[in-house]
Amino acid sequence: MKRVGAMLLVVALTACMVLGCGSKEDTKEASEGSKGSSGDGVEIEFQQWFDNEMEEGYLQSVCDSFYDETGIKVKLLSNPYADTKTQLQASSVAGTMADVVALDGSWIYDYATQGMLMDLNDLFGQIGFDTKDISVQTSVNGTVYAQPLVNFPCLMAVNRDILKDAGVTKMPETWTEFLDVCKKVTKPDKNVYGFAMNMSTDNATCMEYFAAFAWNSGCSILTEDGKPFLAGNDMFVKTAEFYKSLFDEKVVTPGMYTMTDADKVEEFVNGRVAFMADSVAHLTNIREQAPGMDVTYINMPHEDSYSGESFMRSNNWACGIAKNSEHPKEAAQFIAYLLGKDVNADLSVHAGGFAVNTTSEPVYEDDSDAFKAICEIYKTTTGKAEFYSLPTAEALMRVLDEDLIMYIDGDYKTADEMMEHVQQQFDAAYK
Amino acid sequence: MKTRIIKRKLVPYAYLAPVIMMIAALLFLPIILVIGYSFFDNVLVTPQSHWVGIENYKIVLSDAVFIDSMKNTVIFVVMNVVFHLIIGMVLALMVNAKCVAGWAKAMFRVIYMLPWMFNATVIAILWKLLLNPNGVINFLLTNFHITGGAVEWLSDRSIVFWVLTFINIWAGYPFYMISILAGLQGISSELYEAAGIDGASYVQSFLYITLPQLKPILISIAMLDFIWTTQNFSLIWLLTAGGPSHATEMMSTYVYQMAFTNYQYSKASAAAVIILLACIVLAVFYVRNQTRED
Repeated sequence: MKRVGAMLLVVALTACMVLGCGSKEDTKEASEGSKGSSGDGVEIEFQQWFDNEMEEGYLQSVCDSFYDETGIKVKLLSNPYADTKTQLQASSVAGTMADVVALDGSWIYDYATQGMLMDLNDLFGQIGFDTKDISVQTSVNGTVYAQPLVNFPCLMAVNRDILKDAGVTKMPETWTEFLDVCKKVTKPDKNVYGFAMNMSTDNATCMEYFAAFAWNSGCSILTEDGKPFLAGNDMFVKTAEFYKSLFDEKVVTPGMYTMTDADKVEEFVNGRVAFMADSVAHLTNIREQAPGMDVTYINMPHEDSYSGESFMRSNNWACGIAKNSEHPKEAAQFIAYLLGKDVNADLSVHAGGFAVNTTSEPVYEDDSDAFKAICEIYKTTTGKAEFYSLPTAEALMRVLDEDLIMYIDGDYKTADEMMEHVQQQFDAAYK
Repeated sequence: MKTRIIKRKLVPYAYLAPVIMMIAALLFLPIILVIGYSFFDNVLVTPQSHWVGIENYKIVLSDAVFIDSMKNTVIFVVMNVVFHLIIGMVLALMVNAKCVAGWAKAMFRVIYMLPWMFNATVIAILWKLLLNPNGVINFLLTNFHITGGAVEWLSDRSIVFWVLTFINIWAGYPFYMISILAGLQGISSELYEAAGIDGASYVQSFLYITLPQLKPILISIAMLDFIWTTQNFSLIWLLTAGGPSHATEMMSTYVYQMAFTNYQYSKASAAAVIILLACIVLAVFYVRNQTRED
C-alpha cells in the first residue's frame, strides 16, 4: 500500500515537472482562455524600466486609460534599467520577448541587426498613425526600429553654492574657462572638487558625456557614410587632451575611474563637486537629496575658438516592438497612444524630460531656475547621440573608456596614439 | 514471476526519475548547449550559425584581455584560498582555545561570522562606502597622517586588484573558520594529552596532530573555495566592473562582457567552457578526495 502511494506521488511529481516545463504558448493559451471567458480583448506586455523611475502607479494609470479607450490590456513588466538589457537578450533568445520593449539608444543597432525588432513605420502605417508630428525616430539602415517617447538632454549640473563661495560669477563656456573655474573651486582640504563624471565600465555609455565636450565644439565622430572617425579627428583628439588636463590639474573628484552614475550623483548632492556631467533626469533626485542646494544647468563647455552651432548629448526613453510579438498592431497602437499630443505631454512631465511630439504642450509645475535653464538649452541646442549608430555601441564605448583611462595614466604617450588604437577596435566591430 | 522481477528492478528508477529529469534539464542540458555553441561562428543572435571547430577557442586564447583575465583569476583564487586558510585556521584556533571563556568564544564566533552573513551586494556597498575617497578609511588614514591624501582604493590601477582580493578574503574566511572549528572540536583531546606526556610542544602538537586530523576538511574546503572563487562575479562586477582598464578583469567578467556587451555568445561560450574545464579538474580532485575519505 505504502509502495503504491509512493509510486503515485512520484508520478504526480513527474507530471507536475513536465507541465511546469511547458512552453510559453501553453501558458499564453491558458491565460487567453481565461481572458476569453471574462470577455476582455487582447493583452500585450510592456517590458521597461520607466515605471521604476516615475511616480508610483503613474505608468499603470496610463495603461488603464489606454485600456478604457481601446480595450487592449497592457501588462507592465518592470525591472531596473541594469536588468532590462540582460532580460531582453535572454527573452529574445527564448522567443519570449514582451510585445513592447523599452530600449536604450546603445542597444538599438544590435537588437535591430539581430532581427529582434519589427519595422515600426510599417506597423504605424498599418494602423494609420501619422508620424509627421514626431520629432525623432531611431532607424538602422533606413528602417525605424525604435520610437523615442521622452527626450532627456544630458548637460552639466552646477552647484552654484560652491561657485559663489569661490567668487565665481560667470558660468564657463569654453574649455579654458571651465578649467580655470574648476581650479578656483577645487579645495582638496575641504573635499571639494571641480568636476565629476562617471567612468565605470559597468555602463560605458558614460563616454557620451566625454564625447559631448567634442560634439559641442562642432566635432562629429562619424564620417559622412556613418563610419567611426576617431583617429586623425583633430577636435576629438583635442577633447582627449583637454579631458586629461582636468586630471593633470587635479580638479576632478577622486575615484572617477570606477565611479558609477549613482556614485557621481552622491558626490554632487553631498556638495563635494561643482560641476557634474549628467542627465537632467536626475534633477528630481538632486532636489530630494539636497533640497537647499542652488543648482542650475549649463551645456558642456566647447573648445575655445569654436563659435558655431551648439550641440548636446541627447538621451531618450525609446521603445520597440518585438519580432516574436503575437499582437504587433495592438503594440503599435499602444506606442502611438503614448505619442499622442496630450499623453506624450503628460508622460514627459512625469518623466522629467521633453516630449517628442512637437504639438505637445507639457505643463511643467517646476518653475525653478534649474528647470528654466534646462528648457532654454533644450530649445536652442541640437541633440547628438552618434555612438548609437555603431554596432556593439556599448562595447565600443567601453574600449574608449579603457583607453582614455590608460591615456590619462600615461600608458599612451599621446592622444593621437590612443585614438589610433581605439579606431582599430571600432573598425574591427564592422568585420 | 518475471514481470514482478522487472517491476521490482524498475521501481528504484521510477523513484529517481524526477531528480534525473531535473538534473538533466537544469544542469546537463545548459552545459551541453554551451559546449555546442562554442563550436559555431555565432549563435542565438544570428539566424544561421556555422560550425567553426575550435576557432573560437583559438580567438579567445589569443586575446590579450582573456590571457590577463586568466592571470588575474589565478592570482586572485590562489591568494584567496591561501589567506582564507590561514585566517580561518588562526581564528578557529582562537575561538577553540581552552583559555577563552565560553561567553567570549560565543561572542567572537558571531563577530567573526558576520562577513559570511552578507551577500555580495551588501559587501560591495559596505566596502564602497568604506573605501570611498571621502570614506572612513581615508579619513582615519589622513587624520593619523598615515597617508598624505585620499587614496583612490578602487580607482588606482596599481592597487585596485589587491584591494579587491582583500575584500574577497574578508568576505570568505568565516566559511573556513567554521569548518575548521568543527574539525577541531572533533579531534580527541586524548591525542593532545598523550603528546603532552611525551613532551611535545604546542607547535609539534599542531603540526603532528591538528594538521593531519584536519587534512580531509582542509582539502575539501580548499577545493570548494577554488571553484567558488573562480566563478566569482557579483562582487567584482559591483565593485569595479572589471576596471579600471581591465585591472580587475577576471574570467567571469570577461565572459559576461563578451556575451552581454559584445553579443559574441560563441566566444563567451568558449571562454565559459575553459572555466568549466578548470573547475572540472578541481571537482575531480575534490570528489576523489571525498571518495578516499569514505
